[in-house]
Amino acid sequence: MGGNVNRSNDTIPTALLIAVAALLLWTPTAAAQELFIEPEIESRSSSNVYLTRQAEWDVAIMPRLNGGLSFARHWTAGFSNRLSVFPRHSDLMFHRHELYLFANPTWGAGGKNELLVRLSAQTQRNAEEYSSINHLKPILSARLVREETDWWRWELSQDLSLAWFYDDQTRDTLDAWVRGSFTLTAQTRTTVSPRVGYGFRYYTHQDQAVVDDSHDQQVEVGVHLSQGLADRVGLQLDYAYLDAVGPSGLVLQQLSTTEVGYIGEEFLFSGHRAGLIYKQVFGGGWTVGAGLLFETRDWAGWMVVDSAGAATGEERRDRRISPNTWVEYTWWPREGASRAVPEGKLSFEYAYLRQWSNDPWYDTSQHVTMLNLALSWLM
Amino acid sequence: MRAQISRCLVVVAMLLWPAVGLSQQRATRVPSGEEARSNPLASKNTGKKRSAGQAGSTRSESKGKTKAKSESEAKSESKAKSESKAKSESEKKKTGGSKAKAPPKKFVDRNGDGIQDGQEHRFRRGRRGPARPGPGNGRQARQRGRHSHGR
Repeated sequence: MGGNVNRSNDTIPTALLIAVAALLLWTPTAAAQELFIEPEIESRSSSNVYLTRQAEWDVAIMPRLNGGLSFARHWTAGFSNRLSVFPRHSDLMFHRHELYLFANPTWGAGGKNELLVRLSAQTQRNAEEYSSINHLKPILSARLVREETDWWRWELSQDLSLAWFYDDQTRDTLDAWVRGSFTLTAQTRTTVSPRVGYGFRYYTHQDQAVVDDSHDQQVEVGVHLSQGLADRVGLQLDYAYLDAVGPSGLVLQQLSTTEVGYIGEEFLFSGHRAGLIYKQVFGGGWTVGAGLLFETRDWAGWMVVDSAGAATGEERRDRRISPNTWVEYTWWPREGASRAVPEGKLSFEYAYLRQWSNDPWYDTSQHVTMLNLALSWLM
Repeated sequence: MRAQISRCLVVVAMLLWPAVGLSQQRATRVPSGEEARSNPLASKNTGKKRSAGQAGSTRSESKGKTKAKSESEAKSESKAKSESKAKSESEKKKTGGSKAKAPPKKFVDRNGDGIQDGQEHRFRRGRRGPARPGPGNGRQARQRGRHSHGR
């Protein structure tokens, strides 16, 4: 897929690594510091790893390691690493790494107002089969939250990222997102939170001779409702409408390929998304939940082919329904316990996805179970 | 006969005086706003104490009408209630004798899951709210990308 432009990809990660190492070694005397290490392992079994009619199953093993240092009151620097191994489909193996630095000043009673400014660099490496999506992504994000009263708060955020693909320059994108929301909470335990977002994607090296669509846009309008049903029992309803404002440049670019490879699902389709979630917190660290998700996805520009491989003249449309349930157990060290004793979280989740599609290849279903163990040392 | 009636009246007066006083103290024993906010159970306990105080008041009125207790029982009850009164006065001093009602516990739900903040089981790191203010609290630090709402 794509071109053959190879680039040096070591310069920026090395510089960031040195910067973070320097921050880790820096020991200011006036401010408190917190060091955190968070190993995590997740196993995910799927009855249909590619989510296609082939329905090939696999069990993914995904160890992760996060860590970092909070210092000088508002600053945190850290790293995040993740490896995904698929025993039955070795070509799906990938590893992802991130270095980040953020400032998170808070003010007001109890720190109810906050600003978060975060700079990070992510990189993902895949097996040879999917090497075209190996990439480096620097991200700059900012978020401002103001809690005006006990019952009214608002939030503004922006994200700016550059996806820099090592091997396929024509995929390079510059993404910008602006989002806003406000939240009203009534003493009837009701919370309403409308939101709106706008995203713009610019293809920095798209071959105009192949595709004359150098940018994508997406608008998201949604609302989140929640209602406390009883003490520690909550019900949530979330709805969002996504409008991709025309065909995705990435989809158009790959009309001649059998499959479209992408990272993230932004800018690719329009549709509705609605979810209903029940959550209950028990004593002793237990939490359980269940949800039901409905979704429609209209892929503008993605032309459907029938089982015989002939074009039907239709664009791809998916309809999805996904029930899921989960249980989570959290424990904390006893008061006065050694710092070597970590906090821990063990969770199990099951989800079923049924996807109806007018493209026979994607008309399928999937069972997914996840088992996750996360530990956290805070020093 | 007159002497007996006089003694009975004195005993009844001794019974009535601390009991009424106690009921008043119980009715005014409410946690300060800060206490109510910091202790989720404070408002519930306050409700129970108010009920007990009201019930005590009712009992003392009925006792005043019946006058049917023996002198020894009356003395022991009087002693117990005097001790209770002392306790309630001590509590009154602690709370500054405020007769203001405890403010209702505010419902705060920043993550929009319908559950009062602070009741969810979370790691210390990334916990929202005033439970752990201070350096490097990194309230938005945990950006794991799982479940933007709810969990």
